[in-house]
Amino acid sequence: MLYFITRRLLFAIPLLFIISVMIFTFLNLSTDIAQSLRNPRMTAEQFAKVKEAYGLDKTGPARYFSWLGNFVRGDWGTSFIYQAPVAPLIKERLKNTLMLMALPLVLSVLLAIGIGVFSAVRPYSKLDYTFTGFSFLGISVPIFWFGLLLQLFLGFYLKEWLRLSEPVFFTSGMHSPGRPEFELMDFLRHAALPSMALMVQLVAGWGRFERSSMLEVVNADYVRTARAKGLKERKVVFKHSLRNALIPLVTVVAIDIGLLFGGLIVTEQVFAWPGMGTLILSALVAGDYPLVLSAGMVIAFAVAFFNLTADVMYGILDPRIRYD
Amino acid sequence: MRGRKMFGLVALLLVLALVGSACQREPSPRQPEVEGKPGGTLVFAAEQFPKCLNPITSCTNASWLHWTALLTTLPQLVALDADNNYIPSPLIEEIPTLDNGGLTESPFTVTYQLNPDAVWSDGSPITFEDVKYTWQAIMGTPDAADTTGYDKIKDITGSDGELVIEFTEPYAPWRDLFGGGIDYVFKKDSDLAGDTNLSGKMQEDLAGMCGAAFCLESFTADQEMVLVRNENYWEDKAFLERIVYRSISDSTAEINAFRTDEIQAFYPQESVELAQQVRAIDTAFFLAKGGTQYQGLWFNLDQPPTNDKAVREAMIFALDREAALNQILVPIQEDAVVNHCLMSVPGLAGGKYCPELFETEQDVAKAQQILEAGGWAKGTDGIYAKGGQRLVIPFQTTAGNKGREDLQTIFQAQAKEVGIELRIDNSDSTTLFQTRMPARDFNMALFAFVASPDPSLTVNWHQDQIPTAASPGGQNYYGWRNARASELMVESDQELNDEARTEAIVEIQELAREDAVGVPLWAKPAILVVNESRLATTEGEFDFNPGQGGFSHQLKFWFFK
Amino acid sequence: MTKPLLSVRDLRTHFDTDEGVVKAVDGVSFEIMPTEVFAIVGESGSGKTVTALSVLNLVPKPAGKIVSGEIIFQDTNILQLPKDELQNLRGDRIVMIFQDPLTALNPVFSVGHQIAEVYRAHRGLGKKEAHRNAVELLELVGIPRPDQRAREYPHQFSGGMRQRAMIAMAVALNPDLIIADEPTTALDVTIQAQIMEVLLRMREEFDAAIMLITHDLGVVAGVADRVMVMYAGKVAEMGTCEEVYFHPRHPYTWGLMTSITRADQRKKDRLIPIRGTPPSLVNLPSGCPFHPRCDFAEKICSEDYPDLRPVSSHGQIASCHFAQRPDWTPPAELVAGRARR
Repeated sequence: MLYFITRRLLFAIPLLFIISVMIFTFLNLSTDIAQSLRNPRMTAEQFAKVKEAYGLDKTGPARYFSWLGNFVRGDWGTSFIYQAPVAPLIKERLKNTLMLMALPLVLSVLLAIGIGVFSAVRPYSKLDYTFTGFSFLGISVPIFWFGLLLQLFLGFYLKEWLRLSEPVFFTSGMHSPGRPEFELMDFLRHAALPSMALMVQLVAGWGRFERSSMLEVVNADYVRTARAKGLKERKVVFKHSLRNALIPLVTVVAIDIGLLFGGLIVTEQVFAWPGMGTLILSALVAGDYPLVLSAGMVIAFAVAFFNLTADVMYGILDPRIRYD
Repeated sequence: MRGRKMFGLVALLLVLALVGSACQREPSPRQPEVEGKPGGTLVFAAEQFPKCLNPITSCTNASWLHWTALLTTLPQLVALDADNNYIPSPLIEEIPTLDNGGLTESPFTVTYQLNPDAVWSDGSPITFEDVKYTWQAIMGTPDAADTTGYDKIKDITGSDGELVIEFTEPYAPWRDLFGGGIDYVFKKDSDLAGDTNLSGKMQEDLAGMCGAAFCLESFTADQEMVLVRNENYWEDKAFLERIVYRSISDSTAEINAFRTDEIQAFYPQESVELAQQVRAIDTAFFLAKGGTQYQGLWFNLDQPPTNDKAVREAMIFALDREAALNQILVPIQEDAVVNHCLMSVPGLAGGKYCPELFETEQDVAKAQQILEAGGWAKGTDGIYAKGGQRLVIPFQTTAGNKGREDLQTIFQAQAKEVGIELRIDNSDSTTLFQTRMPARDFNMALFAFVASPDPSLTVNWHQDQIPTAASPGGQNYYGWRNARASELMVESDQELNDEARTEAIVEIQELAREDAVGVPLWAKPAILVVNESRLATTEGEFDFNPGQGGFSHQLKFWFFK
Repeated sequence: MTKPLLSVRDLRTHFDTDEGVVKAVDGVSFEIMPTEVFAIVGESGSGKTVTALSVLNLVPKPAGKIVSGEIIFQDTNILQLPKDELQNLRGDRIVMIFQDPLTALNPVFSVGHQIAEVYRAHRGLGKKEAHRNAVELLELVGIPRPDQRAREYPHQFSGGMRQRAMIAMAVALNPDLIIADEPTTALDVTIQAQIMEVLLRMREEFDAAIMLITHDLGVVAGVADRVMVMYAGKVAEMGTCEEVYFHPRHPYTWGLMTSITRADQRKKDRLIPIRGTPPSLVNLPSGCPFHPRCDFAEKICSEDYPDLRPVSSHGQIASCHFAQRPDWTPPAELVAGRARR
């Protein structure tokens, strides 16, 4: 197992290298950071001077390797558009994204399991159809639109209806204006709506997934064996069935978590949540390569790490899998 | 986005030669109509929240940086009022002119009388030393975004209450240095201790430089910015105790936050949908004002078929601009008007640079007459033709810009009534503005210029500025070759007398009308939304500058009811 | 005469499918005596397995449903038992061994754990004690190093070992009836005999009756006391092993005879499969469900369903219009083949 993990982590290094080369190449082809630095009133000479100041007069490969050299030494460089060091910037945004993600992730997993189990135990029942309907809605509704609806109904109308002076759930930001210190209630009231928007997607996807893997399992021979043994239905479902049906879900959840490190671009936009998504989006549009590359590395590493976690979990949950 | 910047560049290129004494009309001092009440925190949503604060480097390319942080906290010498007139800021006694002795011609110097009461928030006076430091910092910062004008300063000297800027050569738009639209005076004696290389600085440090109605308290990129009232402001102090700018990039989310009262004001991009939604909110004060960006159709005078003057002239009469305006703009800005001049907007400097030369209405018969006089004959398909060539005008604009694409469709139908076919030939903004226009690969393009309060037409319209393979740098993409107009452009850039200068600019546009180089459309509106059930202003009614100034200078008049 | 251990009366188990109602078991009655080996034989789809599952009320829901009938086990009707009593019965008094021991064992729990579960569920034993019992059982069914193997997972066992473990799990609580659904089918031929041997040894050991379900009449010979042949959800023929084997009265049974694989198979004696395929249980042929495949069918076969009728004085019954004819015997080559055995 240790050998397996080590090997996988070592494999990740060339992978990250290739990803960084690809990000840089595509970014270089599609955008030009120099244009973001250009002021309308700049003369050509001034522009050349600015480019030189930022090292943008050098060739692409030279800039890439200079970035790479610094990156491996722990210097993640300075963002062009934020004019601030990249590492603390990513750290703060990642923290914000994780703060938004943590609770919905846990709740989504629990809900998805609940829905999956229920739907599989009573397939084609009314409640199953209800869940199925909601899932399809959750998967197909544009998150952007759904987010705005949440703001309107749980933000505005709820406030009006309760005749409050301020909304129960705030529609934007991470904290009340000018109160950046962490206060739990204030945070929860701000995180509630984006969390719901996020959960709708996650629960819908994972719930469907868990339902189908439960359905596959509830008719398995070993579940019949468990029943034939005279085990209580609760044990049959939650021990013999669920334990097996959780294995694929664990994988999917772990991989999704890795991807979520890239932020939730739309959710963050709608709810003005300053996370990784907005950071990367603005950096991408401007071609701010030190920021995009470093953030890309963080995400790629997170994805690789959570993929590995998925595999390890798989090995722990399923004794048939061995890594040696 | 980049296209807009590009044309910002085109339009904002400043006057090259000396401009005379002419000062703007003295603004009538506003009498406070309402008694303000101090206190309260205003939460204002920013659609494009600034990512950094440095007032010298590329951070300044973001308009929102000026609107949120800089215009409200840093002092300026000359300022712009809500109608884009130059006015003396509280820092100076009056705008220097030849008449009041503030300007000398040779050597070119500008002398300001500084307000003796003017102090930084820490109580230290604002002096010529600060202005000098600002100049040194701008010149000493290698990645300064714009040193235009500052590089023509020879020295800055002064004494008690006096500031003398000495130039190496005449520089007409001197009013835009250390003030005007988006330039400022920095504090020398700050945490930066007179450091003149401000690369990568001026983030937290900006908090220590406060010489206007508000001071910066904190800034978190993409999240929020907090301003507090400057208690040491020498002028009438602001009423609002704090202003918190919050980053909300989606305009519908802004409306939602406005409805929950999480924000009390925002300054959104114009859109019909937004205008309708906001107008439906009882508590919302909605003001749309024509800005300084103006749309037009611009012809290529060398490409067929727009190289035929009859075709261009016919297009002027073929279009029903009023109808298009009513459809596209009036739902947003009720008092929107069609622009009748090619090179400015009526809402700028009292409209003196904007002669009404295009007071045309759609006249199908006249358009057809012009075409027929030009040797065109109507074909069986209803489209004119000449020498076997059908009259098809390729029509360019920025692909993906829905407003412009809608407008194209409207014009297409209107031109067809006359017998002209408009064939849509769009490209994304980067391709259009950075490749096709410089290569003069267009026929009739729809896009916006930015009108300057201090116009110079040389760069865009002088006949020597037509880009060629030999000299690709010019920006007269249209190929307007008019010797008289070009002569006038050079003259106007050097004209000292403001009236004579205005006359020249008007005459240039008359010549442009004669040559039918384009069709003006209208100015793009800017929108301010304020919760008027909670807020009021001592000015009586909320106002703003729809150009570079935005809402910033007016915030000090706002108060909570 | 002793009382039957299990008596099934007019069992009908149907399935709702998209095509229609599948009458997997349709009017089956039989009895199993204590310690008896009762074999149910038939092709796949004949309803054997569903019959077995019905006995434990394990028919997969909601598609499957026992629509009528009685299953009386030791004086109680299983079909009317409340849920918890049914659960007490399962795995304790009536146990079941499935065809494929690989899929029938839960892959994520150790073999020992799965056996111990029976003790824990029915006897409330503690973890340790249950495990100790499980190890003993593994030893009993002939698994070497049972202490170690108990901690291993099903995928670490060979096919034969897995089925031994299944048998161990089945006999843990000294059951009265072991339902063995094709217990050897999924195994290597070389192992099949061993597993049958273990199964029968356990029956001796624990005095249990066995309901042996198989498609192979050959497995039945010498093992079963009585045999029931099923076809299309119905009983085709039932009698003692000797009767069915030496005096089969249903042409379907004859067909099953010719498809028996034998160790002494000679080249020229080809296996003669029954022609055609089993009928769709949604749309049964009219009359005798076997008639489209029957070489001896006459007009009446497609018209009337042949009720089960006695064909011997010892209780052999068969569902064939001609079963009572004295000359109604299998063709000669079949008899010849059997004689050589």
